[in-house]
Amino acid sequence: MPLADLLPLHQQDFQALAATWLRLGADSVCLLENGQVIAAYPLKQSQDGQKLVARDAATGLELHLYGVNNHQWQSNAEMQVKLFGRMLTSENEMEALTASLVETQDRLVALYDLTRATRRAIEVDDLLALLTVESSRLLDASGAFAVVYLPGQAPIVRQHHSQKALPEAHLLAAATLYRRDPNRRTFKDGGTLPVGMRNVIMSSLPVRDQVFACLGVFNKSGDFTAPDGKLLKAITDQAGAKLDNALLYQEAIQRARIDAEMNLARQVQTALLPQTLPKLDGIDIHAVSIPALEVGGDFFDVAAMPNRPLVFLLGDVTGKGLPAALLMSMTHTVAHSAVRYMPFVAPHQVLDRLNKDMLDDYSAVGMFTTAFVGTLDLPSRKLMYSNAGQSPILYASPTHQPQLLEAADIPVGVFDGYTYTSHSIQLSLGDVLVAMTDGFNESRNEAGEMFGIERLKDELQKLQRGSAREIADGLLAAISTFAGNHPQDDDRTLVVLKITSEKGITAMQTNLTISAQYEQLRLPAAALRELGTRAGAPEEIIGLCELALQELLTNLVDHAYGKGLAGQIHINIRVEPAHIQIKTEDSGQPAQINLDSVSMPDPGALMEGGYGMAIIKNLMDDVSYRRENDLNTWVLTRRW
Amino acid sequence: MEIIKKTSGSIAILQLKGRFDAHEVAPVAAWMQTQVDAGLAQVLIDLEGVNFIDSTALSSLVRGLKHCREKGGELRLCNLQQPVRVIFELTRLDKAFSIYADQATALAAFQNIE
Repeated sequence: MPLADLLPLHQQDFQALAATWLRLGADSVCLLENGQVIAAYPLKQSQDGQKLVARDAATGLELHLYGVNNHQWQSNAEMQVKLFGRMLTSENEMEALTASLVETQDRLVALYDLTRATRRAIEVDDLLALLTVESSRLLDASGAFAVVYLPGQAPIVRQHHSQKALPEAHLLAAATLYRRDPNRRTFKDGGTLPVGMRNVIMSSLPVRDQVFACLGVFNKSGDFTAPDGKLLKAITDQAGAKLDNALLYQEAIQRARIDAEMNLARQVQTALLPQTLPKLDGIDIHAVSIPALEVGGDFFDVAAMPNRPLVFLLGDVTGKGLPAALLMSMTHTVAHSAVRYMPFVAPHQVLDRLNKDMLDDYSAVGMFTTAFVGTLDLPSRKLMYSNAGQSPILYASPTHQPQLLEAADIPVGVFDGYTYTSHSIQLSLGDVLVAMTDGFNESRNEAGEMFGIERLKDELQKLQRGSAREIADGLLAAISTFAGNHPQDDDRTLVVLKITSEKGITAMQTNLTISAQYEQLRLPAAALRELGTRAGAPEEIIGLCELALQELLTNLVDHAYGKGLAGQIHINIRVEPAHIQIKTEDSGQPAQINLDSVSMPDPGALMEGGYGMAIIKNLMDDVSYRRENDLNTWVLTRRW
Repeated sequence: MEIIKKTSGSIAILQLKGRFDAHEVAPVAAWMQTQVDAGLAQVLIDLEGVNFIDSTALSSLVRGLKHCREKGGELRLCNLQQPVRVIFELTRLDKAFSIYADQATALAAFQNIE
């Protein structure tokens, strides 16, 4: 600052000085800076003639005393001009100091404001927005940006720009320059800076080790100065802690969201599983699924539908977490509809279907599921099962030690077009089947020891005389006692099935109508076999009835209608607890037959016919025929 | 029903597989007629794959047997499954037919006669 500018502050001092010289005989007094008059007294005095000049070399100030020629005043004048110079210099320094103080004060206030503002910014986005706006304002630049590199995620980039936003890639390029050379914080356009960036100053935010974050301010008219650097560092030092908090907060929010989703998934899964189990005469069923802390992939289903075998299934999708839960839900849904709506449900067919429907979904994520499907024919107590890698499945009977039903087939979701196989066991009174997921045998205790299948067998042997529920609870309790304080790592799901009465017959019937043609005769035969098997009729009785029915129908085709004649035959088949009854109705010719006189032809006669009715009479307990209202009615009954 | 025709020397072998009933009789009866007409009256019918036979099918076998015998030949049966055996016993036709446990035994029986 020129000293002249400061002079007005010292006008009175100058006037007092001048007045003293005037009293000593001077005509006028002038003060000059670098040869220019900056003050004069009195103002309109001519400045000619004799003068005494005193000069201060340090400041370039000169004091001109007109009308004074007495050199004894020279040293006095020089002292005075030096004093004046020093006074003005001090004044100048003070001005500069004040200005600097004011600026620093400004910045401190701004920083304080920023601190206050950021205190309320708990979201990363809000914080970065504030930081970029305020830092570009405080450093008097046209833009600012922040980059946060999080491990395993795309970097977060935010910018504030008073003119035109720069592409994110440009900002990341600038951040990379700084990351490579953290000691150099200021970059100027020299081919290194991305397009649109003239100059930039960057500073890192002190955050956790795994995270790198920096704040950059760019495009300042002129250059960034050392104080700018200090200010930016002050901002980033202070903001680092805030950012750390915001990141933690964001993680917590995400974790809370995932937890909420997990909870939801668990609820959905729990809701998918059967809430009530069927109650059946002579068969005791119990099923339990205890999920581990993290949502997993166990599932089970039990379906008892009229005229169908009891179907139960249990499975375990590999892995844990949401993918397993989602696949489990899909698999369970496919299985659920398969066991209920497939025309004839056979265990291996359910698995074939699951594999076909779910293979793509499993392959896409490299997962698979183990599964066990069983069907229990209620009347006959015949168990059919197919095991796709599911273990352990234990079978115990009152006369045999519990044994493991090995998995004969590979898990579902591994090979396209794999053909599963069904196996069968004839269950009888007191038999127990326990299908479990590996959460049982692979449970560990505090010493890291596994429960194992042998212990399961031992436990089952102790429990097998109890009810299905007692067996399930007993096994779970044994695992729990064994595990002690070791947390449950995996879901534990089991289905227990126990035969509590001797086999019984379910009364069932079916009706069908066929055209009187040979090629149609297989339909009633198949229907009889299917119904008889389902109702629990003895296998050999079904076979005999099938033959009798075939003979009767052939007879009707041949004789009632005559070969090739059109007509229909209505068939009703009933399976009762101790007999099968077959009834046919047709509107063909009346039968010319005396049932009493029917007998088996002599084999030696090599008769080429006449066996049919004799076979029927031989196989059946009752055979009756009547003709009423142009309708032939045959009723065959076979007891056992 | 699946029908497999083979020969072993002068013996014609018919292997049946499936349900042998009124609906399936025609091709078997036709084949036997052709054999007999051609003077090939040594016939073996293997019923290993048959689990159901009705009286119409049985009658066709009786007719075949008669025709073979008329030509000085024989129709033999082998590999009867339990449900089929039951019907032969029921009709007592097991007495009329020569029935063997398997093809080898049946073929050997033909050899002995020749």
